[in-house]
Amino acid sequence: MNKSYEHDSEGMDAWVNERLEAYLDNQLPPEEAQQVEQWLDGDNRWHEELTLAMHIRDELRSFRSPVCPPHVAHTVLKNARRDTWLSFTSRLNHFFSGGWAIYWKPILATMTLLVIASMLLFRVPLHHNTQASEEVTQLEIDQALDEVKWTLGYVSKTGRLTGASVEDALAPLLKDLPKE
Amino acid sequence: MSIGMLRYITRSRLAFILFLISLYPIRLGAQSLQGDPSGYVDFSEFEERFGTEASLEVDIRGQMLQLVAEASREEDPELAELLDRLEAIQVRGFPMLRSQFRRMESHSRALADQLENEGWNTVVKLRDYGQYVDVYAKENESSIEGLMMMVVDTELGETVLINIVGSMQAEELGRIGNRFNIAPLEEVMGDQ
Repeated sequence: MNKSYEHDSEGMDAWVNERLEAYLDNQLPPEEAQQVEQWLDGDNRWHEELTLAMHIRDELRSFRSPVCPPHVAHTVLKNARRDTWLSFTSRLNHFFSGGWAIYWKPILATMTLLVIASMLLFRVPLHHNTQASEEVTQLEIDQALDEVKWTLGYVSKTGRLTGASVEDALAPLLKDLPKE
Repeated sequence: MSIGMLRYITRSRLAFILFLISLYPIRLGAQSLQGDPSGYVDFSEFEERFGTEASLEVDIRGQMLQLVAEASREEDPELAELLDRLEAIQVRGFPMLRSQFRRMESHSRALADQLENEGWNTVVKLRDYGQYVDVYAKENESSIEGLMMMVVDTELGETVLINIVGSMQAEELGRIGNRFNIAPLEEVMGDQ
C-alpha cells in the first residue's frame, strides 16, 4: 500500500515537473497554465521547483556558445559528404543488383533501338534535302529533253519498223489467199 | 510498354537492329526511283553480259524528269503530261560488230527468260535478217507500268536497250514519238 502510494507520488511529481517545464517555456494551453498557477499558489514546494527551474534556465542561457574549430568542421563536412556518396553508391548497387536488375537491360536495349531508329529516320530526309538542293543548269535540262525526245522517237520508229516487218512477212501469204 | 515486351525486345534486339538496318537502303532507294517500281529494269547486269561499257547512256529520273516535263510544257503539253506520269527513262547503247551477232542472240534469250520470270509480257519478238527486236511490257489493268526494248541491228552495228518506267499507253508513245526526228545512234554516240 505504502509502495503503491510512493509509486503514485513519484508519478505525480514527474507529471507536475513536466507541466512546470512546459509552463516555463509557455508551451501549455491557457486552461492547464491556469491550473499550474493554482498549484503554485497552493503548494510552496512546487513554487520552489519553479524557481529552481527558472534559475537553471537562466544559467544555461548565460553560457557562451562554443565555436567549432575549423579543422573539426572541415573533417565533419568531409565525412558527411563521404557518407552521402557511400549511401548513394550503395543504393545504386542495390538497384542494379536487386529486383531492378531485370528491368534496366531491357530499358537500355529499348533506348538504344530508339536512338538507332531516330538516326535512320532523320538521316533519310537530310539526304533527300541534299539531293533536292543540287542545282541543275538549263543546259542540262535541254540536253535531257533532247534525250527524252530521241528515246521516244526511237521507240516510235522501232514500233513502225516492226509493224512494217510483220506486214512484209505476211504479204506473200496474204497474196496467195483466194479472193472472195 | 510492359516488362514482358521489354524482355522480348532485349532477346530479339539483334534481329530488330538488323531489320532497321535492312530498311535503310530501301528508304534511300526510294529517293531515286520510289523503291524500284515494277516497270524498272536494272541495266547493270546487262552491261556485265556485254562485257563493255555502254557508249550511249541516258538516265533521266526524279527531279530531272520533272524539270524536263516543265521545260516542255509550253511547247508540247502532251509530252509534258506523259512525262508527269513517268518515273524514269534509261537507255544504253552498245556498238556491235557483225561477228557479235550470235552472242547477242544468246543475250536476248537470257533477257527474255529473266523478264518473263519477273512477270513481263513479250509484246514483240522480231527475228529478221540482221535485226532482232524484243519488246516487253509490264502491264496492270489499265496501262503499261514499264516498257523494255532491246534492238540488235547488225546493219547499223548497234545494240540499244531502252527502259521506260511509269504509267503510259502504247499508242501515246507512238503518237508523241512520231513527232521527233531521231538521229542515227552513231551520231548520238558521237555526242557523248
